[in-house]
Amino acid sequence: MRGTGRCIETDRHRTTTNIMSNIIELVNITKDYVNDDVVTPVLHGVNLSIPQGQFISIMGPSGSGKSTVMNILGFLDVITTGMYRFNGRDVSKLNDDQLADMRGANIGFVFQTFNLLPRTTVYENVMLPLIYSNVPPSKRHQIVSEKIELVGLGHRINNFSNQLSGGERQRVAIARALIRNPDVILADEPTGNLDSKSGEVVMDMLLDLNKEQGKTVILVTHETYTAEYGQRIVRIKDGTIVSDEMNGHRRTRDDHQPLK
Amino acid sequence: MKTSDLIELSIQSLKRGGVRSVLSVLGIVIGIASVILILSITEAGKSFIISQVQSAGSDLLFLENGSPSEVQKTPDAFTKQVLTDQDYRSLKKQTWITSIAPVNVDMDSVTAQGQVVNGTVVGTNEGITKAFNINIAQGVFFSEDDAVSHRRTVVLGGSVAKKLFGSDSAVGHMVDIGGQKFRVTATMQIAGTRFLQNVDDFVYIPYTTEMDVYAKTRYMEFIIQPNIARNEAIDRAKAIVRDNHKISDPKDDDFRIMTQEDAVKIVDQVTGSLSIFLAAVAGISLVVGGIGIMNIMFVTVTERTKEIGIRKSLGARTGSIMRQFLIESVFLTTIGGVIGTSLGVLLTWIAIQIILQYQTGWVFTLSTTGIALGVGFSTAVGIIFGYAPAKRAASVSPIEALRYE
Ligand SMILES: Nc1ncnc2c1ncn2[C@@H]1O[C@H](COP(=O)(O)OP(=O)(O)O)[C@@H](O)[C@H]1O
Ligand SMILES: [Mg+2]
Repeated sequence: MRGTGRCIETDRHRTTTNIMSNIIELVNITKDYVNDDVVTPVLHGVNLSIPQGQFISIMGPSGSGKSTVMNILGFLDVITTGMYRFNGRDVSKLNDDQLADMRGANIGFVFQTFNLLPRTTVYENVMLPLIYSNVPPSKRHQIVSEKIELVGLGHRINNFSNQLSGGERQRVAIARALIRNPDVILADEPTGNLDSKSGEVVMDMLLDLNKEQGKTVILVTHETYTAEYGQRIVRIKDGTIVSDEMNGHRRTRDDHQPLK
Repeated sequence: MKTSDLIELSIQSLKRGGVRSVLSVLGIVIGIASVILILSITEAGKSFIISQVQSAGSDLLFLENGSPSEVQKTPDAFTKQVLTDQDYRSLKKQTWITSIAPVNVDMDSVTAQGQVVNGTVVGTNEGITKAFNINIAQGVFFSEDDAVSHRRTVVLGGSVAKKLFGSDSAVGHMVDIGGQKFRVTATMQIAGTRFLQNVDDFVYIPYTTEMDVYAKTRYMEFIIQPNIARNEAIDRAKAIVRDNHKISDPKDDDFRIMTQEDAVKIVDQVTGSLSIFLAAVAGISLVVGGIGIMNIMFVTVTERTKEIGIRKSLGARTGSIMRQFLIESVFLTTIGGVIGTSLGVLLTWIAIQIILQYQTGWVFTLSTTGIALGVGFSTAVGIIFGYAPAKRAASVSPIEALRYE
């Protein structure tokens, strides 16, 4: 009885206030870089609402501000004006430690350059976010092994990250991004440094995460083919959104030849 | 962040640092090893000297040339020699003096049966055996009568007798000292060192004969064994010598009387200030080592900017990064401290073994102050010199750090 009641209430809430279903809300944000008193405006009034569980692709030419948007979304950088709400919270009101905690708990980053620690094992790399969490050391081993198995690298667990191929590295990065079970995966050109085969493996993983685990995936890419994994495609040019539409022919796993 | 994580991180980065990590703590290692070596050797030296002073007969008075204020200031060679035969005779008469041994010393070669040894020739009397606490092996010590008659008689120290005569008895044989013939009346037992000198290399001749052979008119010192309370004995001896030297004001004393306690006090003072000075020098090397650590940590922080960015992107707070680098630097210096301490202990042991080749009686001693200071200091150095680099590491903006290549 109680369960049903709460469910109805939540549904009503969703229909009345759209904000609550959007995990991310950028309202008319701008971003200026300031170096030695030289101001470089990069984003000029970006509006973007992303509902929980959406797979969204951001496209645009080099230098258009895609990474800047991603860094802002991931609490790595701050906006100049406008409003960024994450789960309804005004991000500009958070202090450094709170931002760090938000990064750790809510965001999983997958970067073009992998950003793994060199001369550090796969295991240690994937474990890394846990040392900044409350997960006690005794529970870590299981969680880490699980995620490494999930990305199919169980046999590489004790290899140094720099002994792996690009595709394997990106899978380590995905395992690491998932280790604290965040709601949002931010993938900034994750296939940019990969051959097409490895790229597809990585994209399939992101797709599965979105479809099966309901993760919100925000993908930056300049390849239309890759962008079509998303339900929605947003195009940016010179720091403004020039188009924002749902993807009519979303790519699925069956669209391409299975590997090997 | 848990302490176990911080230690784990330090171990990881130490492994990654490899040879460079080891080299970076070299300054600390050397600093701490030298602190421990220096403090331990001075301590061992002090114990040795004190044991030397105490191995002689007890409650001795040493009547020496030079005013009391000259102790430690004027080298012996420049002290005016004032102790005369008259002083000896007037003290010798006293009933409160059990024995009084005049002492004059010369280095000379001693020859017998074609063998030559370099010996220390001591002009003295039988009182020296009580003063040095040494015993006759064979024969009889030359008599006071020998001294009065300026006879050429000699008593050989244990090693001199052995080197010249082997296992044969030396008593009654003639030896040649400084071109003069002496008849051996006795040989001494092997006794080791007294007052830092190996008495087994000594040869004793009558004090009068020594003055004849080496053309002397004054004595280096008298070693007096009184049979009354020490302070009373000192006062009486001073009065007698002042009278002889026609001194009315004690301030004008041209002689002094030292006790074994005074000697220990001087040793304490000398080794105390010596070890403070030496430890200060070693301390400077620790500071230099600390600056080396700071330097390497700054380089490390710059090199690892990307790593800092990655950690921050994964949820590391400023404080976590700060702690990581601080602990790392403390970890480095503490390892340096441990290696330095071990090295210091090893070097001390080696040094003592080398000293023992030249002088028996030294005991391997470790300065606990040195070890505590070394280990404590290394940790402090890690904190002090690791702070600024850690602060810099922590303050890097995550986005700039990630972009760093
Ligand atoms: N720290 C910075 N200072 C000044 N300009 C910057 C800085 N970072 C990025 N930019 C500029 O902002 C623009 C957008 O960069 P970015 O978001 O990285 O583009 P994209 O990821 O779309 O290629 C570029 O013109 C870039 O030169
Ligand atoms: Mg970019």
